[in-house]
Amino acid sequence: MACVARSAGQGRSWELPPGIGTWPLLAALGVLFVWPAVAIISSSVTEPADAGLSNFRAVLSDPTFARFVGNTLRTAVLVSAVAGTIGYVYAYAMYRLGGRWRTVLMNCALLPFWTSLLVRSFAWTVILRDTGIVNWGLLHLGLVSHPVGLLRTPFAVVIGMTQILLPFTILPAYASMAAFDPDLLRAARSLGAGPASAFWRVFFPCTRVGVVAGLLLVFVLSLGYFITPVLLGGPRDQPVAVLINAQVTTALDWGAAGAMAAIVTAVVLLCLVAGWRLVGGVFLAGPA
Amino acid sequence: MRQQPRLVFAIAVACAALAACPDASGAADPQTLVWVDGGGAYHDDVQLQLLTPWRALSGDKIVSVAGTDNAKLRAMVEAKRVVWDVYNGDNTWGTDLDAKWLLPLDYSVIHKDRILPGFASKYRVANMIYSIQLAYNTDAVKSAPSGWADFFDLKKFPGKRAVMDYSAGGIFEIALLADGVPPGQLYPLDIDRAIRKLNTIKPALVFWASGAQSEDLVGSGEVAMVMTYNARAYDVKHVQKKPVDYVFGGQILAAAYLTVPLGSQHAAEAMKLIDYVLSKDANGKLSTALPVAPSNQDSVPDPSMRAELPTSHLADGYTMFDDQWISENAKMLEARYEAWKSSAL
Repeated sequence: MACVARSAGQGRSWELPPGIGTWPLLAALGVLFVWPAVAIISSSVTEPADAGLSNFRAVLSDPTFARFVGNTLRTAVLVSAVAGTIGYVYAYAMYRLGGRWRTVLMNCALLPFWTSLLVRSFAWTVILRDTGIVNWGLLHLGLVSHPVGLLRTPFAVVIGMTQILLPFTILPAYASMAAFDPDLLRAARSLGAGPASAFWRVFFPCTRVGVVAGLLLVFVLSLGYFITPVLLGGPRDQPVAVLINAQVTTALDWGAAGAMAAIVTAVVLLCLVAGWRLVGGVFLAGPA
Repeated sequence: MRQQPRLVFAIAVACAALAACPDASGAADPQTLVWVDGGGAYHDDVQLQLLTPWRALSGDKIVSVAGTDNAKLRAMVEAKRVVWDVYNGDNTWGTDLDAKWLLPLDYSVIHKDRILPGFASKYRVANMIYSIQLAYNTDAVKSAPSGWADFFDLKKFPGKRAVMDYSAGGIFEIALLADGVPPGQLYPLDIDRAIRKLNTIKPALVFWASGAQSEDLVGSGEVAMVMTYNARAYDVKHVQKKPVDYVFGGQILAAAYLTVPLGSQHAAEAMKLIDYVLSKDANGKLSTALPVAPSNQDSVPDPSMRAELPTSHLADGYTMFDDQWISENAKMLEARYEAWKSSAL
């Protein structure tokens, strides 16, 4: 945006400040995100009026909070690992197939974006529950005598969230593959590398920046998931967002909710900074 | 494509101006009264049976909103931007503990002399009585259960159980009732005892988050039994025509309450609307479509619904929520509930 504004403004009597194109976005973020976030987090020290750091002490020493945070991190790690692996393989298939198949695969990958998250999560409950399609099939094929518990398990949460978040690993991985110079592979082969060696020592290092970017996106998005784990998970798979919501809506304890939100936000920011460094490091290192 | 700097600048200014604007959608129209209730079939029933006639009678404009949310109401009052006028909350809402967020009702306008004893207080007045009851899938159980003790008996009645995912919704109460605590001695709740009892069926428990979900769980046979609102049990059996039946024995009676948020810009009209909703002729009308009982002793419920009303089955044994105790202990209940629910057995 900045470049466009500057070049288009050349030769005129006035010039736009650089970066002005991002101002509306920053203003919208400020009003719609930063301001409410600060308001919620500040309630952690103002509710009740003499709260000080008491909300933080109470929350950090509460084993229930630790358990919900543990559930959240476990789910985020699992979903990132599964979505990262499937996403890379899928992107590789798109890259290798090319042509019409690439278009078909790309559209299939984007398909989840066309329906609402709520509908997709409900659809998984219909598929996975005791009286659902999968168990109906298993029972009628005589493979099991009692329905298998699929819904309300960590498995259901991971499968539901992975399906929704998969595009976030496929697209960056594919983007880094599309930017890859195929001559490097030919060079590797001509210098004596086998196909596996060329893939792992040339192709993968050059495209891992897309993998890391995708993992980072999915991990951060997973930390804030609410409705999918509520619908697909059991009582021991619930994320910290559920606990925060309960503090606000049921206990009307906004101080505790604010403290929890502040802690979770800090964790997310730490992950982002760490991830950013990792991605930045990969960028700086360049193709190995 | 070449972008016009003037255009970019104009868009930037417009966006910034828009962003700086106060939230226009939340601003109250001074002419319009806003009614809020829990939604679903009840919302449509209220609209048709109460709000439409009152519009014709009073000339008020009324907007009806589905989705009560105590936290949202509290946020409105604290931000001094109250857009709700009549708030039809559940039994845990509107006791004197919520005084910070509510306007005292004007009983010189609202006639409370014929309201059932105990159902009108400083900040709230009940407009209908409902209950939490046991419903079961008739295909999934061999014989009909008779109460909460059967709900906790997995040997005699195998199958999953669905419970309301809400610390103040009755989950501790049904556990204690099943464990043999007499209804009169339920409060203060013995949470340790309730949790011990709940743990006996914990692996079989499914937690529902919305009334519609409770209907789906029992209607599809995903669970054998469910604790749910009596109007939901009625709906899944009589409207959805699923193989479901229900028992009134052991039901926990509750009421929906009308309150007026502090800072309502139409408080006077809100009081008049509340008085109308409670009047002899209007108060029984909700029972034309839903099994909810009037709170006005002079009101006559719809004859076809009489057998389905919770109040027609009091002889089978019932309990009432102690709203005051529940409100006073809301934080403790919530903390104990979340700790129990999220932990391993």
